[in-house]
Amino acid sequence: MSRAEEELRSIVRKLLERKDVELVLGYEYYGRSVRPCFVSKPEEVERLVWNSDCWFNLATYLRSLRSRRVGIVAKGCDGRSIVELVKENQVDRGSIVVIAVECNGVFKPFKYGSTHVGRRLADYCRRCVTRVSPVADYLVKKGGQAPEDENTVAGDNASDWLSLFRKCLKCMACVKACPLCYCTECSIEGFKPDLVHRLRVPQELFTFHLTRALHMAGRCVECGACESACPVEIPLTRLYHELNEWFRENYGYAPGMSLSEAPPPLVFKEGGED
Amino acid sequence: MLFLDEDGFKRLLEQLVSNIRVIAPVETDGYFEFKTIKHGGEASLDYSNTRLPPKRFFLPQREVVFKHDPKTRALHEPMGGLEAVLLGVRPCDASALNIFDSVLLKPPNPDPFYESRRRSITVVSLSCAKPREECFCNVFEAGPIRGSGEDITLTRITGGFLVEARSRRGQSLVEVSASLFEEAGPEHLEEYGELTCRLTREMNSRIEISRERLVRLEATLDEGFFQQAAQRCVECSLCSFTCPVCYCFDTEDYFEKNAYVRTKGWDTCASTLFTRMASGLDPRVSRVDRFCHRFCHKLSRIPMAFNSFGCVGCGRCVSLCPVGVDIREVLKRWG
Repeated sequence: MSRAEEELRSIVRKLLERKDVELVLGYEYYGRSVRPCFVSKPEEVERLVWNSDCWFNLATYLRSLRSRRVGIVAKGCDGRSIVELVKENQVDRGSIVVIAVECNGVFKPFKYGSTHVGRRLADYCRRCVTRVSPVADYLVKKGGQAPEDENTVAGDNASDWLSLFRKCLKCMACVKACPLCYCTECSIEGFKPDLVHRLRVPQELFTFHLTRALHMAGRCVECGACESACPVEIPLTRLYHELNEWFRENYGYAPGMSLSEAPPPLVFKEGGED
Repeated sequence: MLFLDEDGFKRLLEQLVSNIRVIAPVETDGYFEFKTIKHGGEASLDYSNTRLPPKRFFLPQREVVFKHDPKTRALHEPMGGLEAVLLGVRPCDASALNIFDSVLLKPPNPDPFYESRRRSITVVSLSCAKPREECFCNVFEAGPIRGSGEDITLTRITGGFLVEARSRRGQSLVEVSASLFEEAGPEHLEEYGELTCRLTREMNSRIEISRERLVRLEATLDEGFFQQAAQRCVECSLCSFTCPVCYCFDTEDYFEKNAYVRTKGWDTCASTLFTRMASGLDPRVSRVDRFCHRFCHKLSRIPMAFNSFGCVGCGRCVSLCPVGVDIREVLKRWG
């Protein structure tokens, strides 16, 4: 157990004992992988872990727990998505306790049938802008160094998006793993009205991914949950990063960096200077 | 049982490739995928398993049921599959075909699309030598050496392969190139026996359950357990779409290029709209209901109706689930 883990557990134990929160969202081991876990009793905190395998963005669960007081273990990017959720009125900042953990990047998850043996730092972590959450009630310093990257080749540079999208199964893992994809009626899920036909593949795979990309522009915090969840490893975050870059150049806005900065689409005035 | 040496295998593969469409695992971008190969060298048999099951060759992600041109009133029903050999299917994935057969070919209304594909594809399975960490095929007797839906089972042993024809179609494929095969010797059979023992022991040491108890899962449901486990589920459909057994489908109609098209394609019980009816009524309204259904259907309802489990233990859902929902936890609790 690392020092950071020890510190994390003691914070969570304190929060649960004092009944500051009903539930804490964290990570636990199962096999050699890490998965989200929900801790509601002080004696369960021993399950909690914190390491470079904790790639999932726990902020995804916050909306479904809106009526409860919850604590959440948040990496830098997870914190940014919490900020965006608060700004979009999806989560009440007052009802969540953010336990920020200093993150040095996460590994690509183990995938079925992969031939890669070494662990590789996720591509999106190489573009990371904040290792610590912009909002934090508690801070756990990692004190370690960046994870050992056993990857000898830099991130793959496949740029043929059409052939990448052709691999898509439309399993919706990218949508469901995304904290900011919270529409109750999802236009690309393909039910009535059929905005994007669900079974019209591969013709509408482009529409599917570009619609999602447009909805994420200027909102995506590049946490990479979609990319890591994808069973066929489509590098989605790279697409959203390019749109975010465009957004930053044109509006000078980077999503999730501060609670006071309003998202441009919300304050946009037709014909105005804003 | 027959023996086929390495050289004979290469020659057999070349023969097959020049005569018929051969689909085999090919390594692409760090994992294995089933692809049509042009020459024998492309196929890679040194794989743990393909990331996606060979399901799509029998039940494509999307297929056209019919096209109707309103002007000419012509109705076009595309049908029939290309003759092919599907080589290197793992026994677990081959066993899934056996479940498809009992469900989709059940009289009086067999699925004609599945039927034609199943008839035209010869399945050659390759026994597992090193089961993956997340595998549990032993639970459902779907491996690691022999599955139940294949036409030929290949098992790698020193110097070549042991060949077992499992169906008439498999037998005829062997007979076509009979000169390449020889009768397996006692040393081959001994090695086969040892391999079977070792792998069965290894798999059983990981997980061993009672199948009789498992079938009663639905009757003895523990709501609390499922509520806890379902909390984690984000309701994507990854587990169904990467499952070799999940066969639920949906149809969709649309207008395209002057014709009405009806398509049929994968559907999933993880979707919130799977059971929603036109009236708005939904019998499976909560996340826990949907989550429970997946396991009850696979482990309780399918075996009660068709006498085989709806899971083959390939471990794809365990490994690929973004939030670590693990069917083995259900097995260990009820089995």
